[in-house]
Amino acid sequence: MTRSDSKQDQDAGLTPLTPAVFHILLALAGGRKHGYAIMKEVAADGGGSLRMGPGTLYGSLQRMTAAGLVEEMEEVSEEDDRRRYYRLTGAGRRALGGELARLRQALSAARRKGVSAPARNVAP
Amino acid sequence: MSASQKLRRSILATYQLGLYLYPAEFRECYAGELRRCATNMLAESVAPLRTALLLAEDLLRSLVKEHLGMTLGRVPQLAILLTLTTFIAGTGYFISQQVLRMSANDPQIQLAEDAAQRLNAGEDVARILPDHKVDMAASLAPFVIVYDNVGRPVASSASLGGATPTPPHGVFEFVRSNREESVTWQPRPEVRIASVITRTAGGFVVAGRNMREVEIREGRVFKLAALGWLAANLALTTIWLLTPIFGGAKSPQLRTTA
Repeated sequence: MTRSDSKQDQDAGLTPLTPAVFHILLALAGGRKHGYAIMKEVAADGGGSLRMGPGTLYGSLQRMTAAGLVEEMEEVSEEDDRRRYYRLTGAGRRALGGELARLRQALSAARRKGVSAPARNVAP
Repeated sequence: MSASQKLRRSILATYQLGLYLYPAEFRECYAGELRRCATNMLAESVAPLRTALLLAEDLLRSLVKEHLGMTLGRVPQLAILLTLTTFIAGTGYFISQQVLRMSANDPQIQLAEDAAQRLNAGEDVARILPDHKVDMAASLAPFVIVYDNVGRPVASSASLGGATPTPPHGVFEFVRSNREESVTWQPRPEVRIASVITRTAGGFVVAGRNMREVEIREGRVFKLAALGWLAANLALTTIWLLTPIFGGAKSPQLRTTA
């Protein structure tokens, strides 16, 4: 992700993302997932310090679908055909990249100022 | 069934009931998934009570968010409804007040016109006045005062603090060219008189009455209109707030960025 890409996403109003949206996008970056798998992935990505409940997850997925960041897949799962699967769209991938670039810049700025990260992540 | 299984079932049943609090549109779309996630969380949890707390916290937080998202987008709808009730209550009060004010002049019109007719027919001024004297501040009884052509009192069946008050002089000037006028005047603070002033051959006749009772009725009508306005607005706001739960509202486009 280049600086101009990041600027483009900011102009489109896609960054900064809310913590929930960012972690859902991150969870889906590895491929399509159903809701509960996303919740588990978010918890794993957060090192156990980040818990996302079903209400927050599906509320966010609804808004992200409407914003075109994720899409619901029409195909059904072999193991459980009732589950609804989600995957990143191109816009979602760009938004995630833009957010990561923004965070990288913030991290660089913090390092330049001698600010060190705490030993453990803080839940958003 | 073990105690732990019973506990998990109870938590899930309570959670399912809580799902009914979501806006209908959201509930219809995601209730199955929410229930499935909660079932999985409880099945994998070694501390079901802790999971129940997590579910409850998430439910409350997302309920607020989902309802707020729908509510903010529907504020103009509520504003229109409240404006309508305010207009209806205001118009109702205004019409009622005007009817009360206009009917407050009925006896004075009859008294002033009869007195003017009798004076023009040459009857003695003392004979056309009502028999008893009226204290304008205390009594609600109608009274008659006769003024000469320049507005000086000639005879009166009323007094205020021992004297006969005179309406504002501009009123006489108006009646001189327009024959009759209804006017509310305040000869003393707290004493308002609804009066009808009629032109006669030799001056003017004023028939008046203290407005105290009419103003009390106006106050009652105002309270009724205000109560009706408040009740209607409370009912409309409640219906407006509950509409998303029962499926009468669609969610607007929501934010994904911080």
